[in-house]
Amino acid sequence: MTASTSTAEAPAGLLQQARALLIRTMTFYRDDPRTASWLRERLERIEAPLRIAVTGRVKSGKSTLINALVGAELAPTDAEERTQVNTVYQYGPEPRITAYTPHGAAQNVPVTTLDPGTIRDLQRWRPDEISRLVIDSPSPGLQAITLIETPGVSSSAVKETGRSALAQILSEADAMLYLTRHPHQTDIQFLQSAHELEVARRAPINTILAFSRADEVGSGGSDAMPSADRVAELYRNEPRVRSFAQYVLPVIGLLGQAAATLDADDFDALAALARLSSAEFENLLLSADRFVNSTTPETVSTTTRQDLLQRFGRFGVEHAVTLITRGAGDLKKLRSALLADSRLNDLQESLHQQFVERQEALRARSVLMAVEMVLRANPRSGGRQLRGEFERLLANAHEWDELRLLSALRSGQVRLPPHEREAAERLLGAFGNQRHIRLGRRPDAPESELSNRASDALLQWRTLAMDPMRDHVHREAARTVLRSCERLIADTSVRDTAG
Amino acid sequence: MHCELSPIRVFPRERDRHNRTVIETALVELIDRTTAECVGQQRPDLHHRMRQIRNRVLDPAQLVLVVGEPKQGKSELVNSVVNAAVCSAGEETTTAVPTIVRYSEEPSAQLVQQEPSPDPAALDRLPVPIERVHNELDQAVSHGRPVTRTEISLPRAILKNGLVLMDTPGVGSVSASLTATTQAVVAEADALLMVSDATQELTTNEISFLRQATALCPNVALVQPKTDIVPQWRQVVELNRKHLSNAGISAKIFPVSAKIRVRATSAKDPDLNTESGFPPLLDYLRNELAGKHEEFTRKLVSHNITDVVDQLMTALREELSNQNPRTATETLLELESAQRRAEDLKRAVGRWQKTLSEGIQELYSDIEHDFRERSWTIQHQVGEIFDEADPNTTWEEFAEWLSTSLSESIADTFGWLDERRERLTEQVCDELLREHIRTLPNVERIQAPDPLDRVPEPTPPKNANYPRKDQILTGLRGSYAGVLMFGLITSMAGLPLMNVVSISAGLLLGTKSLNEEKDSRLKRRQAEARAAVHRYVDHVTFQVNKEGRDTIRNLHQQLYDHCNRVTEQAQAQVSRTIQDIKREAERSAVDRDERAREIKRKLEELTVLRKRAAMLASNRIAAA
Repeated sequence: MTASTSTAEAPAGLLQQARALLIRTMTFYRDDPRTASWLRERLERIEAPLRIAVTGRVKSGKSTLINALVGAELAPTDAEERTQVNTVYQYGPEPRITAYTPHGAAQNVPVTTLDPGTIRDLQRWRPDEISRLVIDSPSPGLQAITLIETPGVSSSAVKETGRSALAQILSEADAMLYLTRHPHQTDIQFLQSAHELEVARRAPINTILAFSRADEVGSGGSDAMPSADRVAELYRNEPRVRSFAQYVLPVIGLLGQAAATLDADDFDALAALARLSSAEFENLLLSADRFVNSTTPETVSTTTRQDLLQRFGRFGVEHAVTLITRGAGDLKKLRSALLADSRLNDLQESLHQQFVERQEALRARSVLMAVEMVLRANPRSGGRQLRGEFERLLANAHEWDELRLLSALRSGQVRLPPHEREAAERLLGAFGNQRHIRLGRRPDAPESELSNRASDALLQWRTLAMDPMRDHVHREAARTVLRSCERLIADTSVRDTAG
Repeated sequence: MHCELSPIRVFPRERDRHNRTVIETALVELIDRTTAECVGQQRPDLHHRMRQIRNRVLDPAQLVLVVGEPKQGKSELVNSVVNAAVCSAGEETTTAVPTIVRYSEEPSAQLVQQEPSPDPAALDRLPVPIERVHNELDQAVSHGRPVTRTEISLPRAILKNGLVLMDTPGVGSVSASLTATTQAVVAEADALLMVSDATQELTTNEISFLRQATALCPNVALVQPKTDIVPQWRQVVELNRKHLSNAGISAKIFPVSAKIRVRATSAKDPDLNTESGFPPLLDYLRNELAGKHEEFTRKLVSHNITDVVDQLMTALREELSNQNPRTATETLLELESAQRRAEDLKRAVGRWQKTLSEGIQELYSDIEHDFRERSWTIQHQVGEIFDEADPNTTWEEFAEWLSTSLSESIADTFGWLDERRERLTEQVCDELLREHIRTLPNVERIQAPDPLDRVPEPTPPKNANYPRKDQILTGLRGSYAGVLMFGLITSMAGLPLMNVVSISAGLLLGTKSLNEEKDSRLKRRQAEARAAVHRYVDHVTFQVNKEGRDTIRNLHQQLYDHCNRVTEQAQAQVSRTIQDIKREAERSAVDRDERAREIKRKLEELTVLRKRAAMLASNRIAAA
């Protein structure tokens, strides 16, 4: 997978070092079967898909978004928030549900197909009965990433979230996708505490903040999406949001889910609705109740309507019908149009850009966290060397310097002139981790252009790093960018010798 | 553009108005009395609160606060209620400044600014055209003008009874400073409309906000807009009903849809209007709030007075319950400690006296022993000296040596005595002053006395001179015997009595007896000298001992006096303290009883006040 290719490219890469440390720790604890097996599990995770925690405020659309990302209706969506259990959705050849009790025992739940009802029932067990649900699904959406759904923050049904949920997320996941309907103090507090933990401060967890129910912000009119974009833009510039989340974007989970689960019957029903006159349709969709109870057109039954509304949402139905009248004449077209409008693609793109491309650093972070947890929980003599190694890796890795500086730049702790700031963010990999993106060039740019560009940047930032007019913090920042430039050049030379 | 869908009730009628003033007077009187109690109890916080309530009772307007988390549709709700876009609502805008909507014949709008000055009256009102109020507000805020609120006046029937709606910034929005203002205003409101949209159930934050708010304002209703978006809003409303009852909050729930309302208004469709859920809400505002102003004010006043009086009574009860046992215990403790001190002192007296007498006894014997030992050494030396030396020839030298060594011994002994004095003083003072500040007595340094002057010098032996004639006599006596003895022997050999042999023998024997005589005289002299020195030293010893005893007695007296003085002072102080405590306890008992009586009286008064306030709530007018 991607992990192995990246390790081939950089033999002494961060992940490789972290992996070596993990193996050494495993050897060190080999006489303790429980710790060793726990560490082995972590080692296996390095090769498994990237683990992303999907968390957020209560009813922020976590399940809907998970369904949309998976491409199948797995996670139960309900009006009532009851989820108390961490649920892991991972790729598996056969549908399977495994429930773990807090004592570590695994229980296989016999299922032939996965349906939200079963999962819902399991999720409503109390945390002292079931600590974790692992759901294997053959959905293609899970091949690259594993999703972990957590109980909502500040829910009235579920007590004791917050701190414990946080610790779990940080220890279980490589990156975090935080959902909210609208940024609230609770969200900021949660993100802040996630960044204030000891290890997180030195190696921050990557976070994407998504406005997950963008269609319901405001009055939920047909122009919901452009205004949601503007809201996202507003919060992208809000220092307190910016310093905790690398990326802020709106997404309509329901549309994504609708697109993923759209079938021919749905399309027929929607097409029937699209044949109504605009005035009729407007009256029909005035409220959800009206839509369900109405009898026009007669071909669409009440249960279909309920089902549509449940899966699409009122905005989804309205939008789908508008798309059909505008020419999305068949199922496939409608599906792609819905998908495009849900912004799910944007989300997936930024997931890719922020998480998958950086997975080496993210995985290394998780590995180091695991090592740290073991060293802290089972201290024994002789562990000092491992500890030292751990500290060295944590302190020296340039990847985290980059992340920290990005966060500082965005929160305004470090201020650079606008053009310098943009250049610095790009070089640090804010817009994408690939070399040509970092250098601001097209993907097909010739090697010579890239290396020239890298050298120019190197010179420029070297000057800035030694500029006596700047204070220590800014020179330090410039030095970090400079190191990124050096890496880009080193990368060039590696490639030259390889080619 | 605006249309009122329900018939307008005409308010207030003349009789009502009369009734109202009577009740108002009663209420204000009640409030004033409570305020006076607050002042008496020195509770400026409660006093301030009562003043707010008083202003509210006298103000005919009824402030209905529209509160809730951001982006729930608060502004849209206000707009829908008055059928005009007076509050800026939308996805991107967030209410930053409260908007107040009230009744007037002519529509108008004002931006109210407050200069950052301590004077509360420094409000600056800036009239703006009502159509452009949002733009003006945005401009003013972006120019950094301190706009505190927008005031809109509209000719709407629903506002005619004095209903004032206030749209507030969202609670818990990312910009936190706005939240504090909302909280402060809640205390002044007659009623709250909590807005939480119907797409999801109440969160813990919202419930805890409601709980806080209900403590300050008893009339709360939950409005759940956006019912048009989701089909399962009924389920959400049911869930919220459950959450509210779990949290112990009684509030009506109004699910509404602004979108349907707008459509109903433009289509003038009463069915649609019913569907929008607004008629019950308007009814609530009009009848429950506006129509029941009197009951409402009463409820509010009752709620607040009860609360304030409860707080005052709690404080007083606490004082009452804390007062008695605490002071008594304290007195007892103080007394105990004073008595303990007195006992300590007594014990200390015994201790130091014992130490002192023991020390002094020891000192007596030690000093005597010490000097005796030294004098013995001297006598021993004297004996040795006079075994050989002739007192006749060495007397002068000897006398000098004797007086020097005696003086040295005396000095040594008294030096040692002085050291012992210091040590003893310290010991005694330690015993005495263990719990007092350590003051060493001012005892004089002991000077070595010079008793030698008072002792007659030792006399040299009397038969010091051996006169020549005695010597000749002694020599003659010896030689006579020799001549006679040897003359007789030689006469037998026919020699004359006086011959060479006898004369020689006579000379020899004469010399011998002279020498023997001299020798025995020396022995006698030496013995005499020894005896004289012995007597002398004895005498000196006696004198030194006497001096030493005197000194020690003196020291004893000084130490005793000092210690006695200190202890007596301390004892006097302790007994004074004990008396003080007793007197204080007697006096404070009197005071306490008086204060307790006062508190009890106050409590009774407050109980009456509370009863009257409670009667207000149970709908009986307590005007008397």
